[in-house]
Amino acid sequence: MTEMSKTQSELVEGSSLWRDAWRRLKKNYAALAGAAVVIFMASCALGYEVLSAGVTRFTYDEQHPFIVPKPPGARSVPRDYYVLMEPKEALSFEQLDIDEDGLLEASEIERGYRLVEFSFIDTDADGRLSFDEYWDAPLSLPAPALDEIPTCSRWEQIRVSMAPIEHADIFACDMDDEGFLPAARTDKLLSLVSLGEARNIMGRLDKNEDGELIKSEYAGLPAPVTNVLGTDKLGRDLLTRLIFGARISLAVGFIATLVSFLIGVTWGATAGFFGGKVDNIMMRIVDIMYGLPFMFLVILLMVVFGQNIYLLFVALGAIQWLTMARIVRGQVISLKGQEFVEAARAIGTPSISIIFRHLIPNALGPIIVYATLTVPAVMLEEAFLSFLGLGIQAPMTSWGALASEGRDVMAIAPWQIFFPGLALAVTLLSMNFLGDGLRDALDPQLRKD
Amino acid sequence: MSRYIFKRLISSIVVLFIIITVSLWITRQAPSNPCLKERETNTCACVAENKLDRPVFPIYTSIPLVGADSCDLWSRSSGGEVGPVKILGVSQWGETQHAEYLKTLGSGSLGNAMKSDRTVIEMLASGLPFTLQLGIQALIIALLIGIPSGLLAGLKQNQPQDYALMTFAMLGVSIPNFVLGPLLISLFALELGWFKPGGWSGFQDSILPSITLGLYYAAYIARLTRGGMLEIVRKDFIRTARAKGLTEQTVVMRHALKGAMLPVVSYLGPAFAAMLTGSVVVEEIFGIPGVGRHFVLSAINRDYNLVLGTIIMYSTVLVFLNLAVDILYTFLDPQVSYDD
Repeated sequence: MTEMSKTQSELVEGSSLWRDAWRRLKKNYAALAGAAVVIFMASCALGYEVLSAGVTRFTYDEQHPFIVPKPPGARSVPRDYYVLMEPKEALSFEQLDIDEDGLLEASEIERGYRLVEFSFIDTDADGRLSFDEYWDAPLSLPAPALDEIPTCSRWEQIRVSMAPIEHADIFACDMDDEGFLPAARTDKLLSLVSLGEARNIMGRLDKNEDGELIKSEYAGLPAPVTNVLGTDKLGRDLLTRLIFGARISLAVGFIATLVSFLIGVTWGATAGFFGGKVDNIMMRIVDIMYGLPFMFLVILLMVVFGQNIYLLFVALGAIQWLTMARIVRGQVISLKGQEFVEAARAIGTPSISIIFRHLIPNALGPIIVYATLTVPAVMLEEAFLSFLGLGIQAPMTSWGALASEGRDVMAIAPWQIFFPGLALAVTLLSMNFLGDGLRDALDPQLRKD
Repeated sequence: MSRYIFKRLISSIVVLFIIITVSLWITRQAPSNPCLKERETNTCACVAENKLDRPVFPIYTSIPLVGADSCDLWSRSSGGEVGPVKILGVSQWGETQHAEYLKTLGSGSLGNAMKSDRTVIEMLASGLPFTLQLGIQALIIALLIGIPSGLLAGLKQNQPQDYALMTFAMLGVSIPNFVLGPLLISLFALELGWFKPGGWSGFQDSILPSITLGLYYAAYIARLTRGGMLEIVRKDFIRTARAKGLTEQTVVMRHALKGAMLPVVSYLGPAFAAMLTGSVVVEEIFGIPGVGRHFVLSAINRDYNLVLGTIIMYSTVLVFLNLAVDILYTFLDPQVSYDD
């Protein structure tokens, strides 16, 4: 009752539907938080180029395939982002040039990075690794072929060829009498760059491009950058890929929703406005389509025509318009008997402009609410398709595709499924909260309390 | 009533016809055939590998197989009505092809799977028990969790129980099953070792997949039930029932529940459709040899016969399930009458 009298008194003051809705929405903290998260995700997606160059320092398709996948906190040397470390002490030209031929070779650069990485992991700077330091270091996890505990003799055989294995036994195999891992035995553990990458870095430093890096050209090695959320099996930075994936996931969500919005609103408004036989036939078609396994048709489309992102937009939008059509029709039917429609008709406005100029703007509240709830539904479907390998194709990626990659390596690299899954779940949750909040705000009659 | 059922039956058959036609049309638009990339000398091997040397449906592709006529395998089996020569004859495309397909369907065949020695029906039949068990168990979980939580939330509206349950429900509809599944595997299979991480050899192995599949729908049904409950407890007949001095339990169980179930019942049809789709992912995650897994594999292998067969079977199941749900609805809601 109080709600009603409040609304009435505000109507006297001339409060519009939208201002009224905004007032109600402001009180719904869950919806506001949801909106904030959605805006944050959308700005990350839009600002991928900026974030990639300025924050993560990696690009989404940049590979560092050496010792991978790297766990969160591990480091790589970005391809395009160069901040040179000061060429002092251990990193001075003389120290790096161990064969003293006046040139820096790739293997010497690789060794230089090993020193950098060792000083990073050796937190107490005593020149050796304690077990705690070893354990806390973001080193690569067991290679898939070695899920059982390797014995020391086996480890001796493979340590020359395999990626390092984070395992207490490995430490036990390699430690000295005092229980420490001496710097000399950490070579394999600490390889930050591969020889190939070292050669690339050398090429970048070699300003006169004569294939030789001499002292006057050397101004320090490019600094490694942390892979905040780790990398995938090709050494691609997960955070960067998540941001790029947000772009695709959100784009699919919004564009497909727009498609469904256009079809559904037109269909529903036409049916509702003309009524009678037209309505009957059009809505019967909607009824029939409701129970169809549309996802299978979409899968068939993706299989036959290849994984085309525009096809994905249209196909996902085309299966989501049914509820929209029903909602719009209901609204239009209840609106079309009102005086303003009669007035428009009386002055000879054609049906089309009555529908699009008068009826639809007045039915916008529920339409927006449903559109907000369609976005997460579409995103879920895109993720579903990408998860099956039928959606977005590499090197492009979406959250679903990332989760799909992550599932294959779940046992050795759990972060690869955890973070995309988290991003997807948080975004969907936020959108659902926002949609519910908008429904309560815009359409108090629909409110279930 | 019987007239309504009859009308719905007719429209169901029309729907199935449309689905078959549309899928057939989509498949026919495929811009390649399985042996397009082969060099001509390899065509015969490719034909044999894709089982095209046997009667398959005349649906494969509108791109003819160059050089296939000279294959030994090819000419040998050209005598039959649905022989492979016909399949690739360009003149065969169009209405004839459609009619032929429907005729073959009518005779109860879905053709051969292209990448396997078995027929499509055999493959579907081998997968169906797993998928059905998964679907039914997931549905049971969804209803057993969803309805009571929805009822409780509706009865305790705006109280802590309501908020807690609805937050869980919101979480449930927001976590994709392909995230939930691996999460459950790593927790209950890898960490705790209670279940096997994949495969299917008995009831024990069906628990995690069913939960993965069912939780989303449990959450959705909880939301629906709560909404239905809130609507119904405001109705006069509930007030009357309370005023008569009936116990709360009787009011809820005998009077409110039936009405509150209406949105849930009308959701069952779409829910089952979505569950069949969802089971594709769950089967993939848990390595269950159900229909969904066949479907994904066939889609990736471009085994169009199996893809089409799966779509036709699923559509048939769903169309008739929807029919059943609508009929059930008329029994639950006396206000709905279909005798027009």
